[in-house]
Amino acid sequence: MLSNIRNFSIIAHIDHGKSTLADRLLEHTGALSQREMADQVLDAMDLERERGITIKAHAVRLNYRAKDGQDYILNLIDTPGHVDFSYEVSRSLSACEGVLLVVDASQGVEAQTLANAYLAINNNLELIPVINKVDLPSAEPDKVKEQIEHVIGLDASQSVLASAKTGLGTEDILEAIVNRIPAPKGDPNAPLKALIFDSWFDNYRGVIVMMRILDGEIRPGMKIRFMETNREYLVEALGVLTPKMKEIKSLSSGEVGFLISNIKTVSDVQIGDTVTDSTNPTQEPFPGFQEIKPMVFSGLYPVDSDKYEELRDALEKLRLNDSSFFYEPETSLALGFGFRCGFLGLLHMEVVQERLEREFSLELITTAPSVRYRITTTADEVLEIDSPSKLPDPARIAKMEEPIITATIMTNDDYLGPILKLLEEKRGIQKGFEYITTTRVMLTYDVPLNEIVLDFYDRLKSVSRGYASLDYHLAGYQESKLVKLDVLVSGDPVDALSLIVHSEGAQNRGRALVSKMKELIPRQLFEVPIQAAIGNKIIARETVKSMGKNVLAKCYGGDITRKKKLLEKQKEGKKRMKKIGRVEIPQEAFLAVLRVDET
Amino acid sequence: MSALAGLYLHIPFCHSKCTYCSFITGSYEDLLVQRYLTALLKEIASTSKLLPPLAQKIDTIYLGGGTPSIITPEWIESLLNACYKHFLVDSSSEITIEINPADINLERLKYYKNLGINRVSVGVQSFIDEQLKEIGRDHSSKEAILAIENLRKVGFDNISLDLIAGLPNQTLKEWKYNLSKALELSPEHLSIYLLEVKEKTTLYAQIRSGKLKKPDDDLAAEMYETLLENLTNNNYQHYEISNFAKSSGNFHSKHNKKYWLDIPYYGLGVSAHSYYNQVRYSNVKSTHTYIEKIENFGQAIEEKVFLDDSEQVREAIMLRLRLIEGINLEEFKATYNFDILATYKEAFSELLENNLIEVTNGYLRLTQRGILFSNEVFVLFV
Repeated sequence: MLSNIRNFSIIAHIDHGKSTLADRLLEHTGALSQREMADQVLDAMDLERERGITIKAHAVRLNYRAKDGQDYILNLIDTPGHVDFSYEVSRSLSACEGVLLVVDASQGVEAQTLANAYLAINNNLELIPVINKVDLPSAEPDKVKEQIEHVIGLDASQSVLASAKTGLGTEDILEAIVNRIPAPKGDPNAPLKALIFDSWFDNYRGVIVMMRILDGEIRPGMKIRFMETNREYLVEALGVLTPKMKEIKSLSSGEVGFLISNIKTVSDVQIGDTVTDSTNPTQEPFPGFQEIKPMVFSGLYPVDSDKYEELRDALEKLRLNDSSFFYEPETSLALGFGFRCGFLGLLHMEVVQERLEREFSLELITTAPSVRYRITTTADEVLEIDSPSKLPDPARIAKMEEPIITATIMTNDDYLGPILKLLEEKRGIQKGFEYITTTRVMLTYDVPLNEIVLDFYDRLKSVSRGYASLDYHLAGYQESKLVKLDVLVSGDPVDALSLIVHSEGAQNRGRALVSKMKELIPRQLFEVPIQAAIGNKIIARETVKSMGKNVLAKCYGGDITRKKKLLEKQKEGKKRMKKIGRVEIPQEAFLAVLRVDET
Repeated sequence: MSALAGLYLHIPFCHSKCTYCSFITGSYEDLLVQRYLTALLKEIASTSKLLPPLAQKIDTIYLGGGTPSIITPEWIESLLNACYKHFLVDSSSEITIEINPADINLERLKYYKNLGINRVSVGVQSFIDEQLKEIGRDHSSKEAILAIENLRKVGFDNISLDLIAGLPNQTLKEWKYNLSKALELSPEHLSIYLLEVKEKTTLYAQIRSGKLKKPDDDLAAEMYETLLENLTNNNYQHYEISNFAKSSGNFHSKHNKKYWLDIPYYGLGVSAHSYYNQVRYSNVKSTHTYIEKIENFGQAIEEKVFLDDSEQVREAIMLRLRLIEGINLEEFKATYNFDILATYKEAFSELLENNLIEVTNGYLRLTQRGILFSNEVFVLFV
């Protein structure tokens, strides 16, 4: 019954209403009663809900009786909504035949929408433009249609006007899915070929694999093989998410569902890998598999050194649910034992850090994010280093290269001036400049990734009052003049604070960094000089004055308990600081570089 | 140590509320005051009944507030009579009342004297009228001086004076002026507080809103140093972090020292605190609730904190360190069976290095510098 299946995703910019729309579709098709609906069902993790973004993709099966009287199975495959997860998005899209392209009726097309729309177009998917939030007074659906036609190049005359909030247009969307998105193709009699587009770890059942069956059929008891990792398992159970887990007897060509095979090793399951029948394998795996490579690196250390083992356990557990981050032990003179971790991007880094702190109650110090540099030594060795402390002696370096990304930025031209200035400061090279409407501009720039991970995104948001949107992809490596910037606290270099920066901006960055550190390090019992240095040369200096006083004077009528509470508060504050030499440094000071607002 | 308990009575009423005050006080409403004081009388009686006879022995009574001088001297008399009736008040007891200079006249002071009150603490805070006004005090510096003159006339020979250092906008010069005025009056005792800005006070809001500038820590520290120099030069003994007494004679506050020396005290009245048998008690914080509870049950305890032995020892160290003479290590060991130096060896090495504490002649004490940073030392013990 391939003809009655529709597989689709929703592409939308953050806040353009993807999750709310998904809720409406679930509600309308009766997948969940209103009572069962927690708001925004698909964003299951707390963090996702708080940040309004989707990190893990899921797929939900909806049953829909269309106006033509037939029953359809609609598989809604959710995609992560952030640039850090573009590979996962591409795999989710590969499992679909069509997408809903949701655009906010007042905000218009944003950079990520564009990037993902192109991804869908390149996958030969059917795109249905949905103009959302048309109920708002500021809505300008006609202008947005024009943008869709001009910027993306899609025919927008058949756009669905909707309000996910009020439910307006929900049925039109469902009908459009049925009528405009093609039914999946595939040969149910061919050998099994299924694409893995998501997985997560369940404490009782092991790794749960989400997949789209391209050809053939899968049944419990079958011996399967993951073609990339070359691992074999017996199929234990199969099922679909309704969104509750519901086991079924088989999944066949065109269908989407989950697989349970008592898999304990998370790394056996890689997104983008192909599942096939061991005894009767398919000839070719599904194309486009990539090993996920981290782009951003930072050190994670427990504030309390005794918690090292706990941190390791937590990282191990977390990786069960997120195979896209990497970690290895690292030692810092200043911070002791910790881990060097690799992430897909900055947001991913923040998410992992927050989950470690929240779900495992760990207090962590995160060091400034770094990228992976390529160093050619004078002995002609090529090294890849992801941490400033691994940088060889400058005398041994023949050539340094850094990763470059191509960034697409969309903005109203009101903010063009400061954005161009920011891009220039960040060593960007203009590749494209296009007015996509009379007031909206699309910029294409090549920018060193190192500049992006430091504080680019926050500053872009701040200079554009949140209006500019950004998307980027890795464009390669480029030779560059880089130096290691060290920070000395009380005269001693603190390795965890070192940065690799471009030599031209080093002076300014050093100055801004020490002045920010001065704000973040509380006054101590003694004066604390903070210096920035390149090699032996001090390029900036600030001093944290010694503390004036710290005394609780009055004791009202013998209220010792209150006094103790105040002292306990102070003690808690001290616990969140890391003692380096004699100096107590708060967690946030290690990320001071991210908070430097140069003017 | 004789170690008789102390009794504290809280009078939670004021003419107006000082901007820095987070204490439980309310304005003076006659009916409420009558009900409150009646309740307080009842609490005095009911508390004594809970105590074994030996614990009923006290040698200090402290009328604090709020503003105890706001209520009629007849009420003070009733309260003290109740104390005499229900507690075993030692004949050499220290009996203190806190007064607001605006409330009193010669006649009232005589009355106090006749009641056996032998120590008066005068809330002066500053001798500069604009400053007094700024912080919401309802008296003038002239009234403060007059009050002290009158106290002398009536024959009080143990007068304490309260000053606050580090008021918003206060300069070092103004602080020196305040000190010199205080010294001219030659009080037996001085309590000097560095202003703390506490949440939920008018002052806190004024600073948050930008109306006033937060008192500067460095300046406050400088004021404190000036203070130490001035008072020691004028023959005052610095005996506790915020307290000074004339060196000639025995003018330490006997009552307040109980707080620092792990001696029991019974605090009666709304939001008052007690310490007895390794338990810290606090009464409810609302005056109305207090009255209701006392009327119905004779007690108004809201919280009881039991100290285990370790907590008791740590508190004892922390509190005793507030005394400038410090802790007699041998004596402490004998009393608590606890070797402070051995236990805190590692932590102390850093405090010693930072010149916050010293150990000399068998005493552990804060250094002069350590006094200003005493919280850095005390956090070790919480």
